[in-house]
Parts: sequence; structure tokens; C-alpha cells
Amino acid sequence: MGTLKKSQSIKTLKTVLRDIGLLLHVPGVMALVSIPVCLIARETYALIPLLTCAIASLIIGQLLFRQAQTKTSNRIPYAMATAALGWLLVPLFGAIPLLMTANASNLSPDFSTTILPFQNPWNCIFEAFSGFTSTGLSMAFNYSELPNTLQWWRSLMEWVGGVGVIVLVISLLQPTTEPYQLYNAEGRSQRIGLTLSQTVKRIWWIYIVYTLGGIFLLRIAGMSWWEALNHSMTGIATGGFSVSEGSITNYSPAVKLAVILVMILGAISFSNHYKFLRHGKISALWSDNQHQALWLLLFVGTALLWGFNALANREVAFIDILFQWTSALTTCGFNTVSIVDWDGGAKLLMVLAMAVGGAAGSTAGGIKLSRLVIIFKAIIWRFRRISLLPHEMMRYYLNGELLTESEASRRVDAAAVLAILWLSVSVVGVFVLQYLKLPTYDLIDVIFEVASATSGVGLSTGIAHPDLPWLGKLTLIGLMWIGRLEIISALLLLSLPIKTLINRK
Amino acid sequence: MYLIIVGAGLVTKQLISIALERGHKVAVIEKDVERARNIMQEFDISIFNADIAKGKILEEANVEKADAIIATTKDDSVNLMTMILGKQYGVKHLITLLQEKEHQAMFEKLDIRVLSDPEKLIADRLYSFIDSD
Repeated sequence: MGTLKKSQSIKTLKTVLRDIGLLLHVPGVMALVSIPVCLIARETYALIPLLTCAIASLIIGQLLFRQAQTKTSNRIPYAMATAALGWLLVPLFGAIPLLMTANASNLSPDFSTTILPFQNPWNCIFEAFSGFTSTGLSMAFNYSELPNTLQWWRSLMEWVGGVGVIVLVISLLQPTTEPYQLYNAEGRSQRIGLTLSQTVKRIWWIYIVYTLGGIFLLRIAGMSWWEALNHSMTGIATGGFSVSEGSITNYSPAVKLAVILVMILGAISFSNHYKFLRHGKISALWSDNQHQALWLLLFVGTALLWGFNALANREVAFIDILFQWTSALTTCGFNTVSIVDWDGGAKLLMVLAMAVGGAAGSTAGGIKLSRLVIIFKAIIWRFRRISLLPHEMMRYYLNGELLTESEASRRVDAAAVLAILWLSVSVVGVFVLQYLKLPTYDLIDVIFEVASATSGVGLSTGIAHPDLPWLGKLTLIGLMWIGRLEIISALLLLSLPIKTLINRK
Repeated sequence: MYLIIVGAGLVTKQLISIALERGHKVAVIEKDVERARNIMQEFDISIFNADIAKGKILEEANVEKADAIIATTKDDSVNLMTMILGKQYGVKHLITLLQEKEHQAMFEKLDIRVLSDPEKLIADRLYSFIDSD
């Protein structure tokens, strides 16, 4: 009996490792794809790091993949654990090119000091997690002075991470675990095709179309091709890594407007993009409740932020207010002005935008607008029920559709639980960072940074800095990871060791 | 006018849309949840999920303000019950569908307007198209 159970759990473990092996191919292939960039930029010192990353992740990936020949499919908890573990390992491999390039012996000694922080593994791991979770918090000072290969590598991590490592794997390969469960475990899931493979292929097509469109748009608005390429990738991924000094600060208003448009497109759900692209209905971009909420929050929030700035007598151009608000709400994280010296009220308003985030089913992070809409509706329903007669039937409308009572309460439950989890995780993060930050930062700065990490935004008050103690970096890494997986998968993985310990007794 | 319709059958939907078109207020009482939801999906009116025989559901539906009660269920005894309750509350127009023709006299004695055997009515009308040639 005991041995049977044991062999079963070994089988489960093997399947988990096999699927993780598949996921590890992603950084390997990404490194191979990046080699031309390295060659064109004549940065030969980055060649070995990329090759090492490719070889290491492909070999380990293949080993893990080939150790199990079983075709048994794992149950949902293991699919979630696989996703969570995969998302821990993939960024570790993504850190290799950063670390090795910064430590390369043939890197000329007069190279910019910007690359120096990456000689420390913590900073590289931080950067890679920030990249793959499409957050955009960075350990670099002057993005424009990084080697082109590393600029590209950072953008590529965000671009792939924004849409999802698992989405990429499912669209190309066949994992052992039920793909749909894996897909759900990654967060940001939404069905737009009849089958899952159709869904992920459509997602990728839409993603590529918008990225290409973004490149041309930004080029026309006034960026160079290289800047347009990188900013389009990190913009549509709502990531926010930049290749220019001061992010978007030094560009013309036309470029800023173009970037705002790209960020908003990144925060709109893929299923609505699909309806728009396929059926040419532009109304698809505001036809459902969560996208109405997106546009409403964009307008109302910009007005509020403008008011807050006026109250504090701060001279900030309107376009910059619009830009910063859009950047926070879409969880992109590009900058046009420094928000470090903004007052607590304005920062708190930005925190709210970051906590909410973009639409579910987009590349944006945060609690997501669909959940905000449900929670808001739940409040209305709660009050309406009070005034209802004992036998009168209650209407639960969502997106013009009538829900049954059980369906409505199921959705409210899911949304409320996730919002509470998001808050709890953030509160823990705030407590930890509050004791690790430098004394120059206030509590609101800590809250801001934590919200930015958990929602995958990347706007910063300066706490995410190479000088932050390693535990602080680890906290932010953990928040980015938990936030990207929409919390539940990550908590499940963290709870597994505890569960095993209890079961052993 | 304010109409209370008891029972959510096929006729009910037609009845509701006619009444709403003419600008009247409508409430529906139906004991089956699915049927009630079915009506709810199409019309923005108040719907009560309850058995007419139990409790004071008509009072809940504000029967004092009602100008008419229309019973449309398949069960004559439920229809009768509805009509008697309506009479008690002094509703002006009492109208009911009737499955069994034999009961018609009894209903009419109570000042209730009756449409009995609706299928027969349709059949007669259909046949009249042939006959008129």
C-alpha cells in the first residue's frame, strides 16, 4: 500500500519535472534567437554568455524532459505547482546572460558603470524576474548605456513573459499535463478559440501584429528603429523596460502619445483584440464592463491626478500626468517625469491604479479590471437585495447577460478572494521592506514599490536599487513572481513542502 | 394599469409584451425557478418566485394597486385559487385560462372572465380559414 502510494508520487514528480523541462527550453531558444543581435551590434563579449544560457537551459531542459517517458497527466494542483516552479526557474536561466556579460573578461574596462551592478548575481536575478514577470523595475541606472545585447535581452524577457512562458510552450509543443490546466495556472488566461491550441495561436498572432504595429507607430512618431523595436516590445507586454535614458522622459509629446496608445492596447484583453481584428468591430474595445471600466478609470484617474498635482502646486505638464496614470493603470511602468518627490496623496492614487491594473486576459498585471467590476457589482447587488421583497427574484446582470445566483456568487467569491490575497501578500511585503529600506524613504514609498512589484508595473520611488539589501531584493522578486502567477499557483507551490512535512508524521 | 400575471407559460410572454407596449405595469408570479428566470431574461419587470397558494404572495406583489389578475397556469385549481384570492382583495378584472370546460359555469358565477380550452380556440380559427372559402 505504502509502496504503491510512493510509486504514484514519484510518477507525479516525474511528470512535473518533464513539463518543467519543456518550459526551460524557452530561455534557451530565446538566447539562440538573440545571437544575431549580439553579432550585428559587434558585442562579441556577449556571445559566450548567450551560448552558455542556451546550452545550459536546453541541456537541463532536455534531461528533465527525457527522464520521464510516462504519459500520465497530473491533477490541477500539480499543474499549478508546475507553472509556479517553472516561473521560478526560467528567470534564473534568464539571469545568466546578464551576469556573464557583466563579468566578461573581454569587456573593455572603460565601459559604462551602468553594467557594474550586474556583476552581482542578486541584481541579475532581480532584473530577470522583473523582465519575465513584465514588471520593469530595474537595477540599471542608464538604460541607454547598456550593451545592445543586454537591452535586447531585457526587452525579449518582457515580451515573452508578458504573454506567458506557458502560452509560448503550449503553442509550440505538447506538454504532458493537461495543457488547459497549465495555461490557467499561469494567470491571465482567457479563451478566444474553440480549442486551447487555437486560443494560444491566436494570442500569439495578435501579439505579433500589435508589436509590429507598435514598432512602426513609434518609428513614425520619432523614435529610432532600435528604440521603437524595444519600446514596442516592452510596451505591448506592459513591461516597461526602456533603452533610453530616463525612460520616455526625453521624447517629444508625439512619441509620448504613441507610447500611451501602445500601453493601452497592451492592457486590453486579447479576446477583445480578436473581435476587433477579426470582425473589424472597433466597439469591441469598449463593449464589455471591464473595458468600460478601463476607459472610465483612464479619464477619471487622469483628472484626479491632475487635481492632486494642482493642489500640491506641482508643475507637471498634462501629457505627463496622462502618461504616468496610463503607465500605472496599464501596469506598464514607463516614466516621463520623476514621481519620487510627489506627495503622499498623489503616490497613493498611483498605488490604487497599480493595484487595479489592466483588463483580465491582457498582458497587464494587478487585481484586474474584471475582478474590480465584479466586486463593484457585488456591492450594488448587496444593497439591491436589501430592498427586495421576500419572494421577488434578483437580477444579476454582467456584460448585459443574466447570471444565475450561484454563478454570480461563484464569480464574486473568486474575485473577492483574489483581491484579499493580493492585499495580504502586499501587506506582508510592505512590512518586510519597511524594515529593510533606507531611512530616506517613507512608508508611502514602500507601499508604492510593493504595489508596483506585485502588480508587475515597474514605476519606482527608488527603493528597488542595487544598494537594497539582498533580503529586500528577494522580497520584491517574490512579490513579482506571486503577482505574475495571480497568487494562487504560487501560494500552492509554497504550501507543498509544509503539506508534505505534515503528512510524513 | 397594473397587471398581475400568475404562471409563466407560453401565453405569458405574449401577454407581457402586449401589456408593456400599451404602457402598463406588469408583475409575474411563478413557482418554478427556471420558468421565472426565462421570463426575467426577456422582460424588465418584477418577478416573484413563489406558490400562489402559500403565504401572502399577492400582498407582496402589491395586489391592492392591481387593476387585473390573469391566471395562466395549466392547473385549474391554481387558477381558481388565484381568482378567489383576487376577488377577496377586490381586484376589478379577474381573468383566467381554463383547461376543463366543465368548470366554466362555476367560474362565471363568480364574475370571472374565462378563456377555456385555448387550443380548441386556435383549432377552430385554423379550420375557419378553410371553411371561409
